[in-house]
Amino acid sequence: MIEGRKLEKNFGEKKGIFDVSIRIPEGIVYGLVGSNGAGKSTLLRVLSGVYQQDSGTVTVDGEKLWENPSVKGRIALLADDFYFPASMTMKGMADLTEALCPDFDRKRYRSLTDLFGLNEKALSGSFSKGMKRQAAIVLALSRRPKYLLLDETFDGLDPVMRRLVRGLIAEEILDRQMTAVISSHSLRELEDTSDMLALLHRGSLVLESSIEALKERMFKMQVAFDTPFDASSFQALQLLRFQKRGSVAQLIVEGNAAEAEQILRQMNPLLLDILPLTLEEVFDLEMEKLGYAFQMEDGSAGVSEGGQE
Amino acid sequence: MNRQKASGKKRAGGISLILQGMKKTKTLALAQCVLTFSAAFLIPLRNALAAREKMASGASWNPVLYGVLQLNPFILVSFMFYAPLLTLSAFSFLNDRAGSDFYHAAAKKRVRTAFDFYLSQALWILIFIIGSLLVTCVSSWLFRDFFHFDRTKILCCFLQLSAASLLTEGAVLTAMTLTGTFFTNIVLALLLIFVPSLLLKITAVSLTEMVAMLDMSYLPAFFAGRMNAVTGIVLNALIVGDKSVLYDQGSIVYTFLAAGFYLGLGILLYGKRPSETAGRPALGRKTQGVIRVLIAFLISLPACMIFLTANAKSYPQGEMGRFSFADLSPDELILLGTLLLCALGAMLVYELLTVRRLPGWKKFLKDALLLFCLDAVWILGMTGIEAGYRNEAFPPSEIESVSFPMREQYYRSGPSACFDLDHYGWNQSYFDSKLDDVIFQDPELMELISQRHRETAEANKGDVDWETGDSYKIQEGEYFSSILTRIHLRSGKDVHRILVYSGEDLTRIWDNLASIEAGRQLLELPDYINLNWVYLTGVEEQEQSLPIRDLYECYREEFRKMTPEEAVSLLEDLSSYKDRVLINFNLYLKGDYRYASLPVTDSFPETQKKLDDLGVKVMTTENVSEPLTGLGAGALSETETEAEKAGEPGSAPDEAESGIIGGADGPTTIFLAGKLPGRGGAEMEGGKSPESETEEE
Repeated sequence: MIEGRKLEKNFGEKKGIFDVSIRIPEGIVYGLVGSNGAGKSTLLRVLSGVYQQDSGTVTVDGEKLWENPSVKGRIALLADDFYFPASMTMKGMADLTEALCPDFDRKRYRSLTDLFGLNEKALSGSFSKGMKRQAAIVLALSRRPKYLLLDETFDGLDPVMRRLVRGLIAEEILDRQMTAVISSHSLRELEDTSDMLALLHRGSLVLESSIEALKERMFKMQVAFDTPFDASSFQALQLLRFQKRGSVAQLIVEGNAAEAEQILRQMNPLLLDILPLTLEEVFDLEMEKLGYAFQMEDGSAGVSEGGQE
Repeated sequence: MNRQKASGKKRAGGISLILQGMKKTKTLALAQCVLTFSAAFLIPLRNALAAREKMASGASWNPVLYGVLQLNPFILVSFMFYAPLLTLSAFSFLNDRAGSDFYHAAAKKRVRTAFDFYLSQALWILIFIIGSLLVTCVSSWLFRDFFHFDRTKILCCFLQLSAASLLTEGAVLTAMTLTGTFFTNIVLALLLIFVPSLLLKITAVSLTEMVAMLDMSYLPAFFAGRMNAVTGIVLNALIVGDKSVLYDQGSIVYTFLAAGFYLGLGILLYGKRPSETAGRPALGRKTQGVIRVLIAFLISLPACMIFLTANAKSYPQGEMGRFSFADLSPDELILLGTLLLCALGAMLVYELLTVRRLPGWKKFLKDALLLFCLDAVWILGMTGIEAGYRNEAFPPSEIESVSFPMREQYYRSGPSACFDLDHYGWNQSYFDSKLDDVIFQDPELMELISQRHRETAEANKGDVDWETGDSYKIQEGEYFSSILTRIHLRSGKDVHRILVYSGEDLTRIWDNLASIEAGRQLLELPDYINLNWVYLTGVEEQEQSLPIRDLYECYREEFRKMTPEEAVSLLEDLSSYKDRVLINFNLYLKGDYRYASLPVTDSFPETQKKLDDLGVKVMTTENVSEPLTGLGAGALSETETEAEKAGEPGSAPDEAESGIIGGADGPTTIFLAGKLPGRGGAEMEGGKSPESETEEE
């Protein structure tokens, strides 16, 4: 488990991370979402021992991370701007990675290179952005890390490659209980893959929960009655949102779905449907509860304080 | 478990990162090696071809003895360019955010990564230096029939160049850990390498300007700017063309220590360096500010020096510590103002170049204030040191002994300069170099020294023009000499002061010298076999070659028979050089080449008879264009110049020969052609040729 306590890394001008406490269990996919400049990359660099936090502690499997080669050997960081000088070949990068990270697995490297169809003797200058990213993924996975930290990694990959990489990560998780920490400003990117999600905003972790728990504790209900009704008719429910169009109302409720259904059935509805919430809606509501307004990636992705959607 | 074992083995190996470091800079390193190795072969080849041409023409020719730097001057790039470029290239990832993160994410201790990369470049540097020296040795062996190669300094050269290269490598690494762009890397590296030496140099120059009793070479050890080989070679080459520091053993040790210091500092800072520094001009605002102010401080220091020395010269007798701009001449004021403006401007320019915007006025004012505070601290510090020197006193009871060391880098211009037994007018006099060993302990002499020290210190408080001696007279009507004196105190401490002596004082010192055994040894002439070359001046041109060894040994024997008083008198008496044949010789002694010029007077009947038998005629004063007192100095200075010319990489051996024949004393010189004794197996025929000397650097 990677555990960060009260982490702070201040770059000035309110940039960095502030008072972040995070626990990343083993064998899961941990999604880290946040708008640009929220502090995702900084947090990942602190959690991989690249940056030294100004205050707080980071431990990996109970051991201190900073300047601890054996612990750092378990972590592979795949940064958003991967280091791959134009004058180097992929083989050269593999040699360098092996020199820097002794757990590098040559056999795995060869099989992955073949799988991605990369020419290891070609100079990186001849690689496209996507190919460079693939090369970076190959090198990171070849280290057989226990913790793989991916910073906006999927952004430069086409859908086929995304699927392939997701598959490989899933394989590693199943085979070796690897943990993947994936940061993205796109919630949709993380929705299908993550077991846990954390939301960073202005350097602070404003939410951290498992996807399951997030989705289970909120749900959407559609109801219609033959008598007039409004939000006050549902005081027995933990109502988060109420929206009525004609005689049909849409409720977003927090709590136990079965209990809520039972309460509504007792009111003899003409229509009663229980629908799952999308992760975006869950985040939206959670943020609303915290006093933030969450915006989706298709807009200018981010969270604003005190606003309402 | 097995995997852990396997990785454990990998870690234990430990050289993979060193090899990666070498691989990273392979192209640059090999290109430099090819260029320098080629030059190390082509220059000897060119010299050999020139010599062959000369031989083929049938002209008189003697093989020249070359030093390492003459045959391979490009080896100096090892520390000037090769080491810094390799380091910049190897650690270039520190200036790149992605690269910096990549290396800092490695499963290695940061200090280990830094050390391995440092080591990898150090290996390239060693390959470069050793390879380059090997090519020089091989090519000089291949062309051994055309010139000689002085191998005696190869080890020194190798050690010093290695030390200097490691020093620049360490300094560049340190700079790269504190800054994050190529430009700021270079600026800070230059500051790290040169600032300490420049500060000490400026401080030393200011002190010697303010306290005329002090000699630059004998200031406390930390002022010895020549100790650092990099700054020593570069600054001295730029200022006075002296690269002797290259072979100085003390300097080699010091430079290795400095290299070790920078290596340690660089690695330590690498371990602490935040990865986010990459791409930024400096680690943080404070570091950036320190660099900015340091640059400005260096520029402002000459202004402080002008201010200090102008005030120091204007002190009334005994009064000190008065600062006023009124003592500065208009020219000095303009220069001072310009330097200060330049210093302030430099801060702005640096900021503009590194962060691409001008600092706010508050920040600028803060920097300017800091700069002026530093200047004030320096001025006050210097004044305090100066006061210490002015007020010191050594009672006779505290002085155990005195001696008179040579003043390095000091070119004499007259009797007031220094001891100059043989009127050689050159700072490398054979007798002066030996005088260093003579310890005077006569109580009366100690009293004299104590008194002269007191008087010189007193006079130093006044407005003394040390060039002319105006306003200072020890004994009215007598000439005086300012002489470097080493005062050995009973406490065990040695102090070096330039004291002013009257002519009568000098006579007392010489009388004392003649009365002690050490004085007798000082007046011993060296064995012929130890000489590099011998030749005559002040004679008309001869057809035949002369038995110079016989002449020299005869003269030496007669010189030995003289009483010390007679010998001193002979050397001190200017008239003894008039219309005389002069025997000039040179030898390597105490780390340098030493010269002497001795007159064949009536006190040398045997030598004179031999000359007469050989039909050697003395060149009379009427035919000599040079003033008599300058004969030795002038002739040999010119010889040296020509010999140096021969030593230049671009000059052919024949240039050296003709230069020396004509340069020693015009057509009146008899050049006794000879070959190198014991060097390359050639037989000594008539004498030793000046151009066979190692014209090193």
